[in-house]
This record gives sequence, structure tokens and C-alpha cells, in this order.
Amino acid sequence: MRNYIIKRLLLLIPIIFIVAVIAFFITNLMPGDPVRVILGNMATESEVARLEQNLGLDQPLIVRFFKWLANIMRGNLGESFYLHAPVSEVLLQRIQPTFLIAVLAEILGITGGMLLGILAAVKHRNFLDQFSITISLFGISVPSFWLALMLMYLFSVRLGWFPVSGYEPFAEAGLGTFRYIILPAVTLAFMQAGLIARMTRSAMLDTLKQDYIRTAKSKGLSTRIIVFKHALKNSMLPVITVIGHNFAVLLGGTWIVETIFVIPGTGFMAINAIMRRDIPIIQASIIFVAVIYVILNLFVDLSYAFLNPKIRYN
Amino acid sequence: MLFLKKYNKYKHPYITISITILIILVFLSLFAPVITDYSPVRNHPRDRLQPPSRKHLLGTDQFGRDIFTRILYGIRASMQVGLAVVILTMITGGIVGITAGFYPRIDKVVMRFLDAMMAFPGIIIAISLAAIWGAGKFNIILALSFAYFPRMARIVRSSVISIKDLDYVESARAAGARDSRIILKHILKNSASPIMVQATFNFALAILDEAALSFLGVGIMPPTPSLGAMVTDARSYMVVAPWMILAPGIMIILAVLSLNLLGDGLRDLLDPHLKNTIKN
Amino acid sequence: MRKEKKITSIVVLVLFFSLLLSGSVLAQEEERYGGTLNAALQMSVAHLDSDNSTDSMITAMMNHVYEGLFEFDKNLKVHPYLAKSYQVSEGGLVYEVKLREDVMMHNGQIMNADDVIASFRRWLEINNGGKLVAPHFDQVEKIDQYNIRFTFKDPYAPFLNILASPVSNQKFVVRAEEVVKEFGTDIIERHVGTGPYKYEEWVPDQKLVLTRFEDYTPSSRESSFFAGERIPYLDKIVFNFIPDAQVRVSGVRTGQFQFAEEVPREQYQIFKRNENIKNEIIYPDRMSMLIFNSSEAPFDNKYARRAIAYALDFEELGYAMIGDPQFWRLESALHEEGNPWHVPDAGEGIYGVYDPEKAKQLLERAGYNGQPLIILSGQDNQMERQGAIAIQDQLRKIGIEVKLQLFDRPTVVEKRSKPDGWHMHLSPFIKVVPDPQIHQGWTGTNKWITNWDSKDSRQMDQIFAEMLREVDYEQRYKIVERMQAELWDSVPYFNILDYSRLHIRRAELKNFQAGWQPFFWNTYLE
Repeated sequence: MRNYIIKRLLLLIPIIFIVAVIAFFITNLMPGDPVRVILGNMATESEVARLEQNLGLDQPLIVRFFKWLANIMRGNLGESFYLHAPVSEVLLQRIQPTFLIAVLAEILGITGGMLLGILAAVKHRNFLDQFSITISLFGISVPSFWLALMLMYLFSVRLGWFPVSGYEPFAEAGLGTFRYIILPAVTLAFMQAGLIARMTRSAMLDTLKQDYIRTAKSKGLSTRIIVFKHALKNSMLPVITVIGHNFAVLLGGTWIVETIFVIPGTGFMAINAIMRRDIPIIQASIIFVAVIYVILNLFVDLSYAFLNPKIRYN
Repeated sequence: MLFLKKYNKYKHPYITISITILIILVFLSLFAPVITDYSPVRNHPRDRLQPPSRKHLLGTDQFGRDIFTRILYGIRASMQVGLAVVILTMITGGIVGITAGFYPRIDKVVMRFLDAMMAFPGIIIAISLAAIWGAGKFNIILALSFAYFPRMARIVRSSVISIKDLDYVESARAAGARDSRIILKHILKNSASPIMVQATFNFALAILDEAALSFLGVGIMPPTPSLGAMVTDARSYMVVAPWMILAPGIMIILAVLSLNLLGDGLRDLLDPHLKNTIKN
Repeated sequence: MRKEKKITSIVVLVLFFSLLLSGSVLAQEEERYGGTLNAALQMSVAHLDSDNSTDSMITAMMNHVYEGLFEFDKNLKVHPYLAKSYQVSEGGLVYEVKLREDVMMHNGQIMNADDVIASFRRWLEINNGGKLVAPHFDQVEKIDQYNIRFTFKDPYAPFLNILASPVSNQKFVVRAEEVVKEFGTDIIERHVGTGPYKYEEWVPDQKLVLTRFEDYTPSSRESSFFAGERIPYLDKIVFNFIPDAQVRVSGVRTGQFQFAEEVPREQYQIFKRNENIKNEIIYPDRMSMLIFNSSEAPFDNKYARRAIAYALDFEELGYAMIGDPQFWRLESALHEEGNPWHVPDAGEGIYGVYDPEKAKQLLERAGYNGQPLIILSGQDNQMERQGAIAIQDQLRKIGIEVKLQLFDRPTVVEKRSKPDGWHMHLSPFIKVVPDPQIHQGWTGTNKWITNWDSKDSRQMDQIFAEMLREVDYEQRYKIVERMQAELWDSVPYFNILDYSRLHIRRAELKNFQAGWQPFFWNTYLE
């Protein structure tokens, strides 16, 4: 087991390296000059040159790349062009809302999705099955930006249940923070629930067909015990995989949802940074998402190995 | 064809429903110029923000353009982007997947690269690339294809690997058949099912992501109608002209839903075992 | 005797009542104090140092923290503010300024000539308003603790107007000398000014918090917009940066914000029906400028540029880019009606004349070969986006092929700074221009706006050079008339129309004045 973990950890290095390289070149090849955005329309050429030099943008791309790489290795993500603060600091400040939204969305998505999926599998080819299939299909088909606007219009503008936008940190508002993140989280949970429900349903159906379930049934065990004690446990693997693989989709979704609800999280920060070419922030945001994804999937694979010892040495 | 034969045998309801909706959508977008007299781009500023009426079935937008007309042309753009992305991902994903699956020596390198690519959420790659290349239909297609091809490549690769060592491929090889012939004759034919299923889901995803990109302003260049950009426009007028935001949203859902349904149907029909290997 | 008594009693009564009255007035005055104002602004800023940027949002907010020697009143007339009085002599070469002696700064010291001179030198060196002045400026001297002398090399007519200018952060504000010493020309991060509010906290992209400066000493002059008495009734002002318009609106509806900048004009009627919300239409506010790339064919020829003015139906553009006509008006002059520099008949015969036939003739005369014309504009500004789409539509209608390029701001800024790759650019300009000289910043040979370098552009330079030296208003106005005539003859850019933004506030925010930049002294919460 330990060797397996070490092997998997070593495999992360080339992946993160490629991610970093892609992030660097994508951001530096973007058209749009951050210097002119900072200085405004009336800036003279000498001012532009001066600021370019200050930001180190006057050097050739390849020189900048190696300098940047050396810094990254030392854990230094650079300094934001706009916010005049180290990128890592800015990132840390913005992480709380994103984290809360993602976790809440994942919890809602897993609960809703698994319930729907189990319901559909148990009541196979029944009205409930059709109902749950339809709901989960909607979940993966509704554009999140549209859903976010609809929820905002209905629950914030019309009914006034939640604030339209903004955020108060947990330390200041306590549980009041959740008033700000419920709608964004529900928006994202909708798609997650759809994905998870579909996977739960098919995995459960497969499990329920297995011999040992039939044996259990013939032994006269109640359906509830069969479903929750035996079938569910054995259907978890594919469901966990889906959750892991789609966490990146979830994080991508926070970029759009945070922008719509004006929540100062990492996604809002990333979109803002793109709109004004704050290159170090864009790079860090991309790497941040990728690293989280990679680590999460490592955990997924490890849990796989843990739950199913057969593949451990494979 | 295998597919038609199977369909005639089982008459899968998902496929019937989704194909019907899709045919209607394709019909609407192909015959848009015949169905409506209005131009999707011509402005009539004095008739701006009209609510739905007999004259304008779904009302007008802030330029006085007929929203029904724009939706017809908008779904046309969505379909074009979706189709082009599907074809491009099938070609690139197919080539990369087959090469990796067939030649173990370069498999490791390619796989690491694909793993890294898949660590980015597709929408983020697409946003960044669309920002680099500039907005526009063609660039969107490239950006989305770039974002989707790794998954396609992995699917092709795994199906190549599973087929490669089967007896009849081995025997073909022993009989001296060239690689290209083996690939074309045996491998492509046998991995058609998973590719088709994934392609259908990619189609749906492409429509969804095109809308998101256009919503963020890095998608299709105005004034060409795009359903996502229509939602952006509608956002500023949500309170005074709610009809503007409903119609394009529902149209997107309809198209994506029917494609997802089709994907489900195809999966059930062509290969029930795929359920656990293809994720969407 | 009795009469006297009566009179005395009347006097006593009057005194008593007046005392009572003044007491209640005082009490009322007292009641106005307090409360936190939450304002929702559209755009965040990169930093808060106005000298180091041309983003006028900085001055708009920091007007509460920093004040000028001179400030404008409601009618754009300039008044001494931190200055007590001033004197111009030697044909406009020397300005002697007497400072107010009671101005307390946020560091607890009285503002004196050293603070002003240190701030002024910095302004002259790096502020883009200062850079306009610098070539003509000789020196600034301290006469004594509260008297300063500014000397020019040649007469410089717009000096006071530029010192107070709201355009692109040109305004000169007084900072404490210690701060100027600490930061030099770098971006200032510690703010010590003289204003009614102190800097408290800045969270980039989220909010700026200001609190009342308890030792503030208001000017004794009559209050009018930026000039005169400023009373800080509010305890705290929080500027929140909310990019989405609908979110700003909803925040005001729910009472989360008491003020929101730039909200959708379409919702005017809806706000009007809501008794908690008051509409504020800003006038004169903005103009939409169509800018030509004068170095790229066909617009290197002035007939082609003129052709576009004839090819466009301005009124229809008004509906498409702005909407409701109460928010826009056709205006051919660079200064609005009522401004001392307004030229009523500017552009006669070309402005607002819709004549596609003439347009085609002019294009032909300019040798236009039918190549597609590229309009470059921003996605993020409604006027730009919708205007560009509408212009494309109108030109296509008469057979001119147009390609739209709508990008995000950084890409637009970069592409526009290049001499080729674009033909037209639509851009919002601030209409509140207190001095005609300010247009020189973008009008003339190779100024940032147009890549304009020809006989015409040099003639324009000449006109501005004359304008600069002319101190007499009547004479100077004639030069402005010539400038306007020349602009409509060679058309490096033209003003399609003037338009207003719509701000909203809660009804409980009292005594709010809708200025070109929002300000919150003298306003109070009920």
C-alpha cells in the first residue's frame, strides 16, 4: 500500500509540471496589455516602458518562463499586478467562500443525487424511476449561468429570502454566511446531483442483479436492509469516482457562479483577473484548480485501492 | 448498419423522443429563413423591448430584433458549433487515442499529458483559449475541441487496448496485415460504440459551454445570434423584459436535454456494459 | 410705562421663541448626524492614488478624503477651496494664492504651504493634468507659511480649471507633505488629506471604507456641489464595488445599499413607482464618441470620415444604444448647453444630417475600395457594445461592409493603441469638461485618440496653442468656435450624442445632489 501511495505521489509531479507550463503560456500569450490597463488611456510610451520594466514584462518570454518556474519551485507565486499583494496571500483571502460553496454544493449534490439514484434503482421501471431520471437529466442539461439568474430572480429579487449578492466572512457573520452561499451552492449542486443520481442508479441496478443480493432476498431480508446495508456499500466505488472526476467541473462552475452572485472567492478573482490581465493571479487560479483536482483524484484512487484490495498492486 | 438494426429491434423510447426533438430543432434551424420573415440582425430600435404579441411571438430585444427569429438562428449556431466540435474531437481524440493504445512506447508520455489536460475544467481551458484567440465561432470550436479531446482520446485508447490483444486481431497481425489496416478494419469498427456515445455527450456539452462562453463575452461575436449571449443581454433587462431571458434558456435546455437523452439511449442500446466506464 | 412693559414682554417673548426655534433647529441639525452609508459603485479601482492613474473613479471616491485648492460649483464655475483667495498678474504669468489658515489635516497638523508645494510638485511630475501644465510652468515658491506663488514661462489660461478638473484624475489635491516624502512618485498607500472623511480600510475589488474626520473645518463659502461648505453628517461611508447592475439595483431595493451608481435606464418607471427609491438622472454626464483611425485607409482621408457622419441616423442610434429619449439628446458641440464654452451651431450642415447618398459620394471621392471596415469596441460598456452593433447595422443597410470586434477592455486598449487593424472605435467620454483646453489631450497630431497626422492635425495644434495663451474669455471663445468648426471639417472623431446615466438612492438619503461624480457630504440619513 505504501509503495502504491508513493508511486502515485511521484506521478503527480510531471502532471503538475505540465499544468504549470500550460498555465504560463496560456496567460502570457493572451492579447491585451496589462500595463496599458493599469495606466489608462492617456499613458505615454515612457510610462508604459517604465511599468513594463517594473513588472518584468520587458524581458523575453523564455527568460520570464524560467524565472517564473524557479519562483514557483520555491513556492513563490509572484505578486498581483493590481492588488499589490503576493498572489498566495490574495488566494488565501479568497479561499473561504469558494471552499464553502464547493463543499455545500457537493453535500447537497451527493445527498440529492444518491437519494434520487437509489429511489430510481429500487423502484426500477416505475413512475418514481422515470421521475428521478427526468430530474437528473435536467440537472446535467441546464446551463448553470441561466439557473443562477433564475434562482436569483425568484428567491432574492421577488421573494427576498436571500441577499442578492455579496458575502460576509464566517468569522463576522457566523451562520449568516450561509444566506449568501445557499443559492450559488444550489445552482452547482443541481448539476452534481444529476451526475451522481445517474451513476448511483446504474451502479445500484448492477449490484441488485448480483447473486448475493438474490440470495439475501431469498433469505427473506427486508428490502431496506438489502439496499442500505449491502447494495449501497457495493455501489459506492463508481459513485466516488464520479464525484472525484466532477469536482473539477464544480470548481469551474464556481468561476461563473461567483461572478454572477458577486462573491469574492477564487473564481470571481480569476474572472476579474482575466478581464484585466492580472497574469500572476490567472496563473495561480489555474494551477490552484488543477492541483485540487489532482489531489482529490489521488484520494479517490486510494479509496478505491482501500475498498477493493484486488487492484492495489496493479 | 448495426445501430439501425438494433433500433428496429428494441425501439428504445429515449431514442425515439430525443431524435424527434432533435429533428424538430434541426428543421427549425435549417429552415429559419423560411419560417420567419424577420432578420436576426437587422435593428428596429423604435420597437425595442416589445412584449410577446402576435407580431413578435416571443417579443423583441433591446435593438427591436425579433426574439423568436434570433432563437432559431441561435440554435443554428449552437448546432454548428456542437457538430464541428464533435467531428474535431473524434478526429484528434481518435488519432491520439489509437496511437497511444497501439504503441505502448509513447503511451506513457501521452497519458501524462492527457492527465494534465484533464486536470483543468474544460470551461477554464476554453475561456483562456477563447481569450487568446479572440471571440468568434471558429475560435470557440477550436477552444472547445481542445478542451474535450483528452477524454475522447482516453476512451479510444482504452477500447483499443481491450481489443488489441483479442484473437482475431492477433491472427490478422500474424497473417501480416499492416498496422493501418488493422486499425481501420478491426479496431475502429469495434470501438465505434463508445466513441459514438461519448460524441453525443460532447455535442451536448459543447452547446452548454458555447452558451457559457458567449454569456461571459468570449463566445460568438455579435451581432450573430448566440443563445448564451442572448441570456447576457437579457440579464440587464430581466426586470422589465423577462421574456428575453426565458426563451433562450429553454432552448438551450431543450437541445442539451435531448442530446443527453440520445446519449443514454445509445449507451443502453449499443453496449450496456459501458455504463460504468463512460462518465458524464 | 405700560407700553414699555408690553414692548419688553414682546421682546422677551420673541427672544424666547427664537431661542426655542434655534434650539430645535440645532436639535434637528444634531439629528442629521450619524449612520453608515453603503454605496454600490460599478467599477473597482486598482489603487487610490489619483496622480498615478487616469481612472476618474479614484477622484470620485477620494474627493471625500482629499480636497483641491480650487473646486467647481454646480455651474462649473471655479472657486477657491483650500485657497482663501488668489491673484493673477503679469498677463497671466503669475498666480499668487493665499491659503486658508484653519485647515486641519488627518494627521492633526494644520495644512501649510509646504504640504501644498510638495503635493503640487508631485502632481506636476506624474499626474496627467500636471503633465499638460508642466511644459509651460516655471516654478512654485513659498512666500510664507500660507502664501504661495506659481510662475509660468508663458501665459497659461486654463490653469485654475485644470487644477480643479474632474476629467481623468487631473484634479490637483493637497496631501500631507510627510506622505509625499514617504512615497515619492510610487503609489501612495497611506492617505493623509484634509477632507471631511478619513481613509479607514480598503479591500481591493470589494470595498473602500471612510469615516468622519471629527476635526474637520468646513469652508465658510456657500455650498454648491464641490465648492463651499461641506458637512460630514454620515459617520461612515462604504463604497462597495458591484460590477453587476441588477445586483446594485436589488441591493437598493432591499435597503442593503442607500445609493447605486449606473443602473439600467429601462427600469426608470419601475423605480418611480417605488416610494423607497429615488431616480437621479445625471446631466450633462457623458457623450458617445465615434473615433476614426486617421492613419489607416479609407479614414486617412477626411472625406471618408465625413461620409460616416452622413451615413448614420443619429436619432435611431439613440434608441439603439441608450433607449428612452429622456436619457439622451442630440448635441453637436463638445460642451453642453449652459456651459460657458458651448458652441450652439457647431457642425451645422453635417451633424444629424442623414444622407446616405451623399455618404456614398464622399466615400467614392475618398477612393474607398469597399474593404470591410472594422469597428473595435468594448464588451463591458453597454453604450459601446450596443452602439457598435447598431452602427454596423446602419452601415450595412446602405451597403458598407462592417466587421465588429468586441473585446474585453485590455484587448481593446491594446488593439486601439496600434496604428492599424481597426478603423472605428466607439467610446464614452465625460461631458463635464471645464475647460476647452482639456480636449487637447486627445485632439491633435498623434494624440492618443486618432493616429491623426496631417495638415489638418497641425492646424488643430495651432488652434490649441492660441487657445492656451488667450486669457480673455471673449477672445478665447472665438478660438473655441474655430476649434469646433475645424473638428467638423476634418472629423478625426465626432460626438454622436450626449447621454445620461441613471443613479438611484433610497428615499431616506436626504439632500443628495446629483453631481458628475457622486459625493456624500451634506447628505444625511433620516
